[in-house]
Amino acid sequence: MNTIKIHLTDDRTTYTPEQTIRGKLEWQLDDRPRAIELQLIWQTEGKGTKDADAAVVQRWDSPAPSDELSFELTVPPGPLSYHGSMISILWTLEALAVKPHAVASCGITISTAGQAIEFSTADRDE
Amino acid sequence: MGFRFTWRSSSRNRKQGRVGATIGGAIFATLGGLFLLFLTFELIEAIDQRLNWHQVDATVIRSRIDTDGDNENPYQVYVVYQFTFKGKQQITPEQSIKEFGDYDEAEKLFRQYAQGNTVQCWVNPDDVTQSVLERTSFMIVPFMLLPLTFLVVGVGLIYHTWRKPRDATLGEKGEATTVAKTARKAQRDKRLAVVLPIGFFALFAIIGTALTWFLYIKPQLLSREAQHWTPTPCVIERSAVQTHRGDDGNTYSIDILFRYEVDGTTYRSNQYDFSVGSSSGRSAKARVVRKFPEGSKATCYVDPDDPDRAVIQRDVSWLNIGLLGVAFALVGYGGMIGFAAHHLRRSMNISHRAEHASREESTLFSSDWLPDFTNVGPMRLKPKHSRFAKVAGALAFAVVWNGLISVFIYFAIAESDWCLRIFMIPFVLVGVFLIFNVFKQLLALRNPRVLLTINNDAIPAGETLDLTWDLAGGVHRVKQLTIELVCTEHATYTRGTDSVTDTEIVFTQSLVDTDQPSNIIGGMISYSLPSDLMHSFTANHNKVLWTVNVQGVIHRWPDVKNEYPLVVLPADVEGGMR
Repeated sequence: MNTIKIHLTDDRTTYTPEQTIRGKLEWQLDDRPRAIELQLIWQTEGKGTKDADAAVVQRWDSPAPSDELSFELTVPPGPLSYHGSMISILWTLEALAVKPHAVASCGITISTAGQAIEFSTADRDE
Repeated sequence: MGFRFTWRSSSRNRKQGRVGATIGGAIFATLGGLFLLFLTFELIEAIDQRLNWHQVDATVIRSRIDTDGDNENPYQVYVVYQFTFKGKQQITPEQSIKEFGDYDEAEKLFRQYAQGNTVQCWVNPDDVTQSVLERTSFMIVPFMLLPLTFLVVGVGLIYHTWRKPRDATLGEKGEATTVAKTARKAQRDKRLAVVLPIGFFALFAIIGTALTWFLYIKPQLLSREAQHWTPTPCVIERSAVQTHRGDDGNTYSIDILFRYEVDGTTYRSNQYDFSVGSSSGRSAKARVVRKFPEGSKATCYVDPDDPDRAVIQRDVSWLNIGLLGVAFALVGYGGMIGFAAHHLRRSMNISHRAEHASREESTLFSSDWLPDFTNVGPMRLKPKHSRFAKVAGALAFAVVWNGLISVFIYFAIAESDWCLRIFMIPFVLVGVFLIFNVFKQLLALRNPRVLLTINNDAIPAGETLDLTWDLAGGVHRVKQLTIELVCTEHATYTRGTDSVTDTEIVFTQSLVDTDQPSNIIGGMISYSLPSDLMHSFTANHNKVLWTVNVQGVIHRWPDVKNEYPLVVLPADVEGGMR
């Protein structure tokens, strides 16, 4: 059974730009993996075809089959988390073990105001 | 306030998609495979003839050119010949060597196999009754690429549909992707979004250039050359409209075989004019054929340097189907240049603003999810489309559209094609609307000019927008002026084979709304952007864009209407003060 887990310091999932995400990766795999990757990714959801990009990538080559390590990532300046009328922008922190495979992910909110920006048709000035 | 929309496909939809893709792939693979098999047998025969058949001298007993009016290539060369192989003399039955649509080509081959000539033939040593004068050509090899492509696409589609994905999330069978894989695919799509359009337009340009040369320029050059050819009396031996059967219907060409003499030698040609290929519209061609009945006398024009070349109609109209090639080429080259220039401009903007950013701003300013901006301080905002660009765009679109359909209308009228005439009606109506739009844009050139000055074209949320407006030129005609700050979402998705972009305004703030002439002519306003505003964002398929929209109402005239893009940056974390 191949597993990998992300533990965020203080279980915190909301950050502002330029802050540091700290945490720990822990994995148990059947064999030595080619690499462990940690990526901070934004992606759109909604009516439009999905856009996505990995803003931060960290990689550890050929780690032990079972181990844990601490990590630190600097939150990029944007795009900020957003829930709009047709478009949403979501951030995900994803840990991936490469061969053997294992994946773990958790949602992150990047905002200057503590929560995702929300727009709706109610924000139209009538 | 607000809502979250999640896009997911159901398990049933996925199964239906798989079945459909499998059927489609099977059809592609079967068609390609069968045709490839047929061509493979031809290739094996060609190889066998070259490796195993014996080359032997043969004597032509008799030969002739036969005309088969029901055949797309009506001129066929028949030959009877004899040869000796392993001590035994063989006389072949009459066999057709080749079929031609062009009589000149048939006559060249006929002279090669004239009665009494000694020629080469190839004999099957295992069956001496099998012999050929022209061996099966290896030219079938390039034609194998097309069915091979069909086969590969079909098999590939089936394989891709049913293969298990790598990197599957553990514990969720059937879930195909991780977020990281989605991101890699999106970045790959982003690169393809640059390469594919340029490739597409390049293909248009190549096809357009080839069509322009073969269908337009070359006939014009030949026509000019033929003005110096010698007028020569000729006799019409055959006159018919040739039918060419195609998947989308029949096309037609003029086939008039005429005989003429030069210096005591008799020649034949079936080149009526310098047009290439065949086209729809039988009646116009039938009218030409009726003018040149069999047995009648006419005048042809013969090349004094090569009497084999002759033509009856040496003039070529400047308005012909070859103009389609010109339109294709214009679209192709224009699209390639425009797209490449746009991409280059964007890359340069990102580099330039990152170079001139402060240390704290450099990461933000080099982000490619922000639209273009300059951040040079107080500046005049440029409209999304200038007035002259609107006129040029409307004019270009109207010219290309009406130019294209005029060719079809010309043929519809010239060939009395009522089906084509009726089919063209909606296209003509669109063309009329486009012409009307050009006039509207021309009238709008006389509208007052709106000059907007702003403190910066990139303003963080939470900071102040200082806007000054000035109207110049016939300002008294504007009865009402509104200026709004607007945020619009743009979402692009695929619907069937089309790409559709939906837009929705998600934020509007009225900055100016006045009917007072003193306020219309000019003024200034400061507006504090709320710190919880969504910043500008641009990606391949999804965008959040901010504009300052100006509208000036003019009675009985096109209104003043402009959008001025600006960029809202993310708020600073200390509450909006940079």
